[in-house]
Amino acid sequence: MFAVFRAIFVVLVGIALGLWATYLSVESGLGFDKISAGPWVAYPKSGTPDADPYVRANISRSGQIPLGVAEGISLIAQTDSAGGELLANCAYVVRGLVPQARFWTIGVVKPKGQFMENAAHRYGFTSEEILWDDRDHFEIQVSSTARSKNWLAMPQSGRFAVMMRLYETSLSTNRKSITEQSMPMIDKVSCR
Amino acid sequence: MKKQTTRSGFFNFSIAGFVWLGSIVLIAGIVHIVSILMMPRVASKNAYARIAAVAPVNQIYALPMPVPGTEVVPFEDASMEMAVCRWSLDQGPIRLRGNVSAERLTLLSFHSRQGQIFYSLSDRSSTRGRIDVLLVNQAQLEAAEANDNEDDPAQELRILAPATEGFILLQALAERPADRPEAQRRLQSFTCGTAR
Repeated sequence: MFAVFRAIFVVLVGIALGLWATYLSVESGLGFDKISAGPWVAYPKSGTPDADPYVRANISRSGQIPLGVAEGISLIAQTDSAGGELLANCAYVVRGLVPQARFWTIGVVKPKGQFMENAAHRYGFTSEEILWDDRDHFEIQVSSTARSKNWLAMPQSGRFAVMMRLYETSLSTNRKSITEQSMPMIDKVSCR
Repeated sequence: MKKQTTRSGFFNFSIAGFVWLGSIVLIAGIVHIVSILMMPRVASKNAYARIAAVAPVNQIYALPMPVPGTEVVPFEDASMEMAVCRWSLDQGPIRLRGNVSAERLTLLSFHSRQGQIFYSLSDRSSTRGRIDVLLVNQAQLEAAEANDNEDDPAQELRILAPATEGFILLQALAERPADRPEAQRRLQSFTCGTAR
């Protein structure tokens, strides 16, 4: 009788541990072909038939639609370049280089991917509308107070993420060329 | 004599302990692997389910303007106008046709119900500004090929679907906010439905 109870206990604990491991791996965005470039994270194979099971589980649970190979690549930063959380009560500047792409867009979203209410009703910029400082550099101010040039308005508080999409980029076929140096920096300027 | 019994009892206990611990790890491992592999089949809020909740089957449906509160899926690109064609091959092949314009970004991707992208293309793959796709299963592909005329080859792009249900995502980039109506018109030029 004791052995039966012990067997039931073992099975229940095993199931609980297994589901806990699944929850943790999906929440943390685990994936065998995850690319990290500074704060930027991408899963370039997420939409393809060779996506690994962790990436597939993650995508199907979050409900997001990954980009296909011919479409481009999506990168998401949940932290700034120093590794700190992105907070709406702080001001950031996003600047630097962008990998080669036919078009690109950059925008801010909530950490789970919803748009953030803001007074300016602007959620991002495209490569065609952004104002360039000199030939290869741009600077975007992310702040709850109005700034000149490229400004993304923030609500007063809350966490956020930055999403960058490279459309029709050569990186789709050569994924190892994404490095921290080839992507924009996200630098914290000040906090309220 | 008494000491020996105690020692062997302890030994037995530790083997039994390892067996129970090993069983827990084994069961946990199996449950973990099975649940990860099952997730695309059982996830109730995956992209297909979210689209099926708003979009009718076998026709083009324009997704709402990307503003707070109207998101159909997370991590949408606010600069994109989007439309979907949720398809089912049960009634026959699906024909998708539309116009794209040079130098304006239009993207098409073909998704199975379980979240696999089995084909994607951009406006650069169009033939003189036209996109003409026939989405088929294996039997429908063979039927289409049997009807082919060698002197007048079909101009359509035939895509073999690995599933009987899924969706096509159409995206048109609005380079500036003022370009939104033009991006919407580009998507409105598309038709999608069961081919006759």
